[in-house]
Amino acid sequence: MKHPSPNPAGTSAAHWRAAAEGRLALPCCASCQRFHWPVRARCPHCTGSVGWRDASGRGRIATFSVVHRAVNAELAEDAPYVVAFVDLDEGVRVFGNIVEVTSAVLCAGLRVRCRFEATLDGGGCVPAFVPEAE
Amino acid sequence: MTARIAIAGVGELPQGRSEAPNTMVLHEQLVMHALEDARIELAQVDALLTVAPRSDPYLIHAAALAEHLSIAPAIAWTLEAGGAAPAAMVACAQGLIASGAAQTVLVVAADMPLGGVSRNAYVATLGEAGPVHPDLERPYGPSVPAMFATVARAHMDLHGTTAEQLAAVAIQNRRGAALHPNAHYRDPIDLAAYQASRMIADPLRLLDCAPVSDGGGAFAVIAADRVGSRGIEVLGSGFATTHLHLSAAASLTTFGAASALERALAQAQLERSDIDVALVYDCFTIALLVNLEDLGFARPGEAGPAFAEGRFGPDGSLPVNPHGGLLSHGHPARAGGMGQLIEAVVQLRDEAGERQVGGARTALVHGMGGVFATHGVLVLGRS
Repeated sequence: MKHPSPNPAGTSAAHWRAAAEGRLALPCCASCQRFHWPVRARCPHCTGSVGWRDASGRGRIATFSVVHRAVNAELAEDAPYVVAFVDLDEGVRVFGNIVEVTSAVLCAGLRVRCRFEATLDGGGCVPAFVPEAE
Repeated sequence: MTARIAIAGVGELPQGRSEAPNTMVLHEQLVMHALEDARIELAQVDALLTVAPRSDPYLIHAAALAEHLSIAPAIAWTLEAGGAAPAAMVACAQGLIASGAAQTVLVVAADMPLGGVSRNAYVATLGEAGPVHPDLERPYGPSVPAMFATVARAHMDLHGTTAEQLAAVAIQNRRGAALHPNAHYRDPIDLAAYQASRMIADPLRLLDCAPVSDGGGAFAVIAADRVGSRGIEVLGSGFATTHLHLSAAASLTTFGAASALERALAQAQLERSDIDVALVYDCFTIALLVNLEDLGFARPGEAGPAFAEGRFGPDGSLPVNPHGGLLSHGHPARAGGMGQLIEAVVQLRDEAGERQVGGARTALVHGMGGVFATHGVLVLGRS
């Protein structure tokens, strides 16, 4: 799938730097040790200060949609493609694409694992999820 | 500080492709309709509230509109709250009147995504600058329908909601729109037409999605003791905001409308059972089902079956969106939700003609911004 390059200077810069190195780094509270997503100024669970920690990238599909009408012309040739919320084993829900999946196996509850795909300009990577068995 | 306020008049034009040459002229036309309906002179307006249209670039849109109208109101402010903006502007008007800052507040929201921007450009910008997180969702290519589709899928998996129940929402709204002269889409649809409409973001089809419309509306707010017999009183208002991006929502099947409604009902000193007609935000079929459940008019998972059984139809126990909703009356981009507020006023005045809900004395107006992110509820009643 063609992914537009993420903003390297945004609040999620640490996430994208890690992705370029093949790591799924997510915001994690220094006090209560719980992950959250998307990144906030303060932990949404306990208002503690936010650090970053690598997650396993393994989890289950919570819900998904097969997008038939792409949001822009660049993605049109990728359609239909799958967007999904994935509940990671660490107890945090993230958003992303499910790739290399057939409609026969695609369902909520499907175990997936994270791998990384290059962005359009080749300057970075974004996480993508594939069925765990693959 | 509170003040008893009333909606003195409303203005609306056909939704769909506007004949106005540009968005500013559409605003002007709506203003004149609302003022004529309210029997208020333009020079009396001392506060002008607007929503920034997607199709115009002004820094302070309300000030640009005041300039265009050749008026110099004390206040010309532009407010952003997505589809909750109409309710938010009513609450703002109430505060202005209560504090003495203004006496005659004119609210107008309109947009021309078809005439002013083009449908494709509008849909593309919604995916980039709409309710999609620019850093953390956009790289994965979600459209706005896709975000609502993930909620629809989760609702189906959790509660057994079906495509036929979503279709019932679309079909009922179209039936209402057929009776509204200003509605964007008035041709009848049936289950076969729904099933034949193309898949946009599975499980949502084209007929699950509100159209992109030119349109909007205007209304005037004054103190309740200044309004005539056609005035409609604002009995209560309530708001709730839980997130902006769906990724940050605590649940994917239930959201924050309930607390907005509870605050509005408490202010109005009324119960849910006092509501005679409900105007509920329906940018997608699934949005109407989820919002009706969150507002407590159906138990979780029961809105779909209730809709299919006609509970929310014109002859049901609680008629919902008799004007056709955003789904068929139209969704004028940034001005989404004005149609719901105006229909509530028209119903309470007993002026809705063939769509009239018999004996409607109390109406609920619910507006929503983002993907179930921010909610505004008004309870309106006959003066």
